Amino acid sequence: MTLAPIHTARVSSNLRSFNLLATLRGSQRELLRVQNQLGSGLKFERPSEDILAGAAALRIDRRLEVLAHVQNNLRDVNAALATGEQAMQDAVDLVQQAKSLALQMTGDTATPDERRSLSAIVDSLLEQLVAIGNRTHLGTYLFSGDYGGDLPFSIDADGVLYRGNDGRLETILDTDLSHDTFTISGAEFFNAFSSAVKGVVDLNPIVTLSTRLADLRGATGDGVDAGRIAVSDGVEQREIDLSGCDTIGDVIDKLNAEMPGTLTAALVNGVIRVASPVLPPPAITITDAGGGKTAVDLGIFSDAPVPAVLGDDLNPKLTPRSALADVLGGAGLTLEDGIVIRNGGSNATISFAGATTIEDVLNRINQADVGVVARINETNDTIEVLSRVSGTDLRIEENGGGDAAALGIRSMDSSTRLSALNDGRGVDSVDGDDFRITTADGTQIDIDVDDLDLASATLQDLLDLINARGGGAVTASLATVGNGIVITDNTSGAGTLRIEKLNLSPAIDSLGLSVSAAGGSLNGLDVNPVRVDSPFTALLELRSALERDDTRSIGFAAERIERALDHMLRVQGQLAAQAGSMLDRAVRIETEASGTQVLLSDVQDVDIADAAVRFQQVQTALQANLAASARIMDLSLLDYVR
Amino acid sequence: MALLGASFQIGRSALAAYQSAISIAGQNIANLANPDYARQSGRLAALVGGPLLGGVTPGAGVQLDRLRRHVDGSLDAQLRNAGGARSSADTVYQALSQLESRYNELTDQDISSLLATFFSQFATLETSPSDGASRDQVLSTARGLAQSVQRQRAGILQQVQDLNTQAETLSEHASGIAREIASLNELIVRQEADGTSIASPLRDRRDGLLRELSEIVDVRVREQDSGAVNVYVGSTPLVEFNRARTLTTERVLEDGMEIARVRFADDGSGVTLSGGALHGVVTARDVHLRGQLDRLDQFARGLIYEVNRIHSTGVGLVGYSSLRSEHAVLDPDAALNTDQAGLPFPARNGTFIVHVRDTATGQVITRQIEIDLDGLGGNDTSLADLAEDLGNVPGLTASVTADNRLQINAGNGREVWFTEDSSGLLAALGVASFFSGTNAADIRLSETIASDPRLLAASTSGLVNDGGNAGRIATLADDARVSDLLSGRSIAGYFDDIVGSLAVSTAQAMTDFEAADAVYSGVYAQRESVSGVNLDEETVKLMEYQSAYEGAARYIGVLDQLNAELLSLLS
Repeated sequence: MTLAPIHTARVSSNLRSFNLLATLRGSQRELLRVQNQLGSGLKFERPSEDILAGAAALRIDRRLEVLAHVQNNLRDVNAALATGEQAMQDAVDLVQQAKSLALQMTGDTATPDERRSLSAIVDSLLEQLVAIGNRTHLGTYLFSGDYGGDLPFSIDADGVLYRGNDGRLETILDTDLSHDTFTISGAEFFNAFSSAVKGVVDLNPIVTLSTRLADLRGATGDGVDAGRIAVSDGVEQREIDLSGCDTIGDVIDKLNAEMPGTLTAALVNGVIRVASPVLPPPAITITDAGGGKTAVDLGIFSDAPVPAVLGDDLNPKLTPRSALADVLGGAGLTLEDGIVIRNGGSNATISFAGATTIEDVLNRINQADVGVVARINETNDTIEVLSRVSGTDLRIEENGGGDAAALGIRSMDSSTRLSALNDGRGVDSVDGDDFRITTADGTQIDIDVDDLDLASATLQDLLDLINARGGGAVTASLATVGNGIVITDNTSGAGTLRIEKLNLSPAIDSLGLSVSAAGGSLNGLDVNPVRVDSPFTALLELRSALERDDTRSIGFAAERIERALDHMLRVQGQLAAQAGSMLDRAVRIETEASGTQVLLSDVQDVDIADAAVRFQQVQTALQANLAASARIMDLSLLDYVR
Repeated sequence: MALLGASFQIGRSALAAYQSAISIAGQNIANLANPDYARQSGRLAALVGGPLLGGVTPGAGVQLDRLRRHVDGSLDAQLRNAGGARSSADTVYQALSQLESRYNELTDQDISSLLATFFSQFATLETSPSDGASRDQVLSTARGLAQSVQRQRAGILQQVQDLNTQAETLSEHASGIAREIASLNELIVRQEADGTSIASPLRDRRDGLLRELSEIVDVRVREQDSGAVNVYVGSTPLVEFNRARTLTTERVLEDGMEIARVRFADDGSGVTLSGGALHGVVTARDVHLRGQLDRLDQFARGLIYEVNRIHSTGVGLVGYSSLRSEHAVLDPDAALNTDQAGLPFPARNGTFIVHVRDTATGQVITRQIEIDLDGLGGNDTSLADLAEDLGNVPGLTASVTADNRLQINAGNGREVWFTEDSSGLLAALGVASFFSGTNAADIRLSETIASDPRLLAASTSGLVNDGGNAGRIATLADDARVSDLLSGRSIAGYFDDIVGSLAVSTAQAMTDFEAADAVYSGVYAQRESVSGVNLDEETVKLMEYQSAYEGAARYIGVLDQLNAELLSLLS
């Protein structure tokens, strides 16, 4: 209620009442406002009372909610990290105990009985280590990755099975709502997966009309960023917006719908071709518009006029849905024979009959229940198979054909380096010739493996060496059933094909060729099994070696323990660094939260002293108003009329 | 004696004149507190004539020759306009203030706090996706959020209905006033027919009614020579002499909402409003409240769509054995992004991945489903096409139901879910949704999710400890995660805009009211300076008239003594 102005000619009684009421209402409203401020401690209760401050309070309030949320997460995460650090330290301590024990037992001071008796201690260490691997934090397994579900580690007859994966749990841990991980999987800390069995084969699926742009690496390897391009046939130029395209088929459709003149687009052998059926051919240019690089990404950029644009390879990623017929640049894969997987005591012959996609292949392997995981590799160009079982040998063999090699997952393949054989110990050799192959006709073929660079040579190089030295008398190849080197005698005679060491060289042991001939061929052993390089494997090997009183194997186990320990300490250090970083972040967020709370208080909270003074002022004004008004209203000339 | 008689006449006229003047002052004093009253004054005039005395004729006395009502027609019109503007602004402010209270922002019990909690709980679920309590908490908060949004909308709708009722009441009241003005017109004309009388009380009453009417509906008043006034709303007559038209309201459905429209009862024509409480009611209802409803609906629509877009491309602790789309299409053969399909949410050209898991073996097969909605080649995807494509996925059957919904069934021992939907079609169809509904009126937690919290799609991979999808939903709280459905704002940002714009509107309404009130007060003071009664003034007049009366009485006394003297000479 606004007061009526006083510059009026006459003041009526009504006007006096009007103004009195207005001042009373105004004072009482102000009193109520200050009373509310004093009661609530807030300058305003609704945003409209102070628009700018109200909007600021809303923003700050939301920021505080984010900060509180991140603080909660950081608290939980720091607790999880602390639990994880403790578990890691406990695991490291156990493995260090095992290391001391192994080093003691490698010397000559221990007796066979002492070694055998210590195997029980190692067994206990193994069980404790598995128990650490199964530790939880607030009901969630610390080391299961994002697998969840059952216990991540369990001991069975074959070894220690890891059911988890290499995922990490993550959550929002900063005020920009970005995610960070806060656990380390058993695959990382315990190295619970074997190294991947994967070939050098780039399965290289061909681009089809259904290929999503999101699945393309693009002509430059940076993916395809669909935007605007400019296409000209030399007469007319049109800008074409490809941003709504999701697949290569969409791109082709859009180009055909909007390109100028007689230009047409098609997918030819996995690349985009833009041309015209009319002669003489037009001068085609395709460039990017609007500052994008779509034409470059799609491999069809051509700022110089050409009669036809044939795009570059768009290099699509391998996906589960890649058809077997579309891989290898369109040549396709025909998997007729299947593979054999042996992992400890678990064996499976896997047929790919009826499989049409990469996913089908992966499913067949994963469903074989032999303790392996088959997946597309991280760079999305091939598949890989990893063992989940510590303490076993994983072998992926051919089943009478070449499917394993074609898929690039044969564990002992022609591309396998000699240095990787025997669990990375490579091939032992001596100076001079290492072994002699004697054929049925008495031909002697002496091989010095040092003729190869053992650090870089592959099995194929060795096979080539033997074949070259044999001069046709023998054929060295890889087995088509199982793994291992096969040496076939091509001669005939009274003798028997045989292989023998020269100069006491252990090379044929290393190559798995310390075998007798059968049916005119030497069928070598698989000397490239894949083992999980984990502390569990190390303890299992140590236990076994102690039981067998095998000091050489105890030494190998000690080496593995050493490697495992180094790895565990490295990962533990990473987690500790992350924990430290999270604690620092918690302090930072806490500081920001305090500052923001102060800011909100500045914006929203009432200054009590100021409000109290204002209350007093308004109250005084009201009292004065009431007193003055009462006097004025009471005063009348009538009082003086006798 | 004749001379004395004439002198007596002078005294008598003075007594009569001052008695009348005292009565006028008394009338003014009596109406001191009557806000409709216009003060009156009488004009004293010397009577011409009388006896010739010593060559002079002093006159025949005094008379009150004219009664004057102190009114300024222009000021009255200004006061009516100012009162109408103030009344309109006040009504708008009251409505907005009530609405702002309804949002209850800047407290811990408001929608924005619930929204923050909702996203925060998805973040918690991300770290413990298999935890039943975390799932229940998300669902409980989502239910609470949806109910709050619904309640807010219902509250606004109720306020709209209250304003409808207010419009009806005001229309009835205005009609009653118009009828009374018409009656007064007739009485005034009759009373003032002699050309000299002023029907002051009737005019006062009529002026008061006109002011009251103008606070309901802005009117223009034209006084006729007869003394009657014609009253117009805009250019349409409401009162003409003794005929009054009646205002009524007609309830019509607009955007599914019942709206009371003000009309003339006789011909049903619309009433043009530009001031008064009715204008305030209509402005508050049609501009502010309906705007708020639209924004709240849009907010809910954006929330539903953006959450569902992510939720529909994840997987819970279990997949779906069967699914039916929440939304039906109008024509199953129409491209899904066209009006012929009529989906409530947008869908665009893209793809999604469908996963079918054998629950016994855990084996999953995936297929890419292409959603061709580029408008090219005449082969855009319809619901029937989609059902056919999904039906070709091993382990799935899909069909279009009789009511044009998509039905997907996983085979025995199989379950299905979806990922990587670049088309947004799953959310547009309402497949594997988290929220059901399309706006603030019907937003609710999906009954499917509510009945089986395991279906809450926290994961992107199907692994128990993978809470990636919950994390994606949690990041919807980020201001950088903007939505086309929310005018390029984030969900929380859009809601802030709703609250902020309401605060601005409310503050503006308050400012408008204060400005209108200031104008009203100014005009009121001017009108009071002309028409208002001042007790002291009247007392002064009263004393003056009393003195004059006493003087006249004494004068007659003197004449009486003179008369007695003369008579004594005769005795």
